[in-house]
Amino acid sequence: MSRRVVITGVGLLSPLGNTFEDFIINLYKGKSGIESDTDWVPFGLETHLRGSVKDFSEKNIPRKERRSMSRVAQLAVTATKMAFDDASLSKELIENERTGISYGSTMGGTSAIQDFFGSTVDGNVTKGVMSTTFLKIMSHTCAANIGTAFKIPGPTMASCTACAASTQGIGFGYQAIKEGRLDVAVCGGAEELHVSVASVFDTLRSTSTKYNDKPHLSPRPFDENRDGTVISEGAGTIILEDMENAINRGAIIYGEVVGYYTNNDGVHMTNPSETGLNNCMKGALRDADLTPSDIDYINAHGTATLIGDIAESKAIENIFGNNTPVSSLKGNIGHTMGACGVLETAGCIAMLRDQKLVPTLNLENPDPDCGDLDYVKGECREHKIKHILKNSFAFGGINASLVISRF
Amino acid sequence: MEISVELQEKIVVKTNEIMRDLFELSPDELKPESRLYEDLDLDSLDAIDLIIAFQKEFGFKPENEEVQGIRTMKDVYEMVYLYHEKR
Repeated sequence: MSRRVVITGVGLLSPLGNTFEDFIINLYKGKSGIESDTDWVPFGLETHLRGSVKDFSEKNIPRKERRSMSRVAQLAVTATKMAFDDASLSKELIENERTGISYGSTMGGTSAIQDFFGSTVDGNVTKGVMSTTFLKIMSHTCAANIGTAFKIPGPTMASCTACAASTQGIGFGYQAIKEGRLDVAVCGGAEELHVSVASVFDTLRSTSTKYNDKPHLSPRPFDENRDGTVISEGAGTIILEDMENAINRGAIIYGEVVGYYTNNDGVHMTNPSETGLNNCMKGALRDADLTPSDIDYINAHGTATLIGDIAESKAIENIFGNNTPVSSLKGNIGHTMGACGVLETAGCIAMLRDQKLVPTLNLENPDPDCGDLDYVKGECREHKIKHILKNSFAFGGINASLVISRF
Repeated sequence: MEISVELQEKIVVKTNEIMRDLFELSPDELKPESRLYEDLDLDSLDAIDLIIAFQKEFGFKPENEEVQGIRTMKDVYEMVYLYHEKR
């Protein structure tokens, strides 16, 4: 059985806005969601930069649902509510065994992890630990809380693969519908901003530090003056649906997922492998039954790390040459890690709809060490788009690529 | 030894404060006759958190059997009185 899989709903919270349309408008305007604060200095971090979700009130979630949610799950559940509303999904369709969840994050709620393990360090494992603390820190906290909050009885998959988490979330949901195991998949990922997560990248010297006093100028994907990534938070949920199901209920269809592939570099835990990235993109093209020349735009992972951008751009050049436009949205929103794949996919959905490419913010002069590509920079570019390839790559050598098409 | 009326009042105030903070209840809802499960919409996880909070605030950890018999706010107050009397 092979069915067509369409996108019928989007909901998100991001450093660029807390609705899909605000996010898109701000992307088109070339706005930056990055800000600077010195509150991480006492922790020894060199970067002051971050992107956060603003004007979010967790009190919109009822207490009994919220008590098991750290911020990461609160953002995930809120984005999912917006996606359900956007898709006009009925209660019967949501509370249905043919509806499943495929949702990830880097890990469980980091602030709750601090509560949990902080008590262990104090020498009293029960002090301060509430009945729900573990429910906030478990790696599948987003998927589990979405399932409980919306009474979704179908299969639940938690793709907790850090920066590839939400692209895998979409990919696994797509595969399940394509193969006839689900009719609807609630897909995506989330991340909460916390000093501990930022410190991981800071320790690895992968955060941007030269622009601490000019936050809107960083990160700078593919630029010769980039100096690292900026850690951000957010959440995004995309509703995938069997095409027949969507058409029969009169759903508005944003686009179609036509290809997906995920692999492992199997080389190094943090240094990306050009070969692994190559194989991942080729796998997605193969799944979509498309050739490189069919792809009209590539939405890169493009984190603005020194080696990551070189590896990805060279892998793209190797397959696509310099004829296919490429950009990264991390110049606008930073690296939202567990949410980056789905937020950037939301950007791709809008670009497909509006036939317009978003440039890489802060890309002025492409690094000569990066691949020779058609980098979209400066202004938005009107462009005929039928097929988009979207990349996400994570620590551990985990790669994920999606192909999304106009419906 | 039976505890003073003054201490009973203090226990009620402190217990209500814990209930408000933990479960986001309004002062109006916290009456002696309020039923924990039916009126205040608490459940088994909330009961555990209440015990954890009591342990922290009053320094005692009720046995499971004692907690299972509690139905109303009045029962909660009396459980705390009892522990103070035993001290």
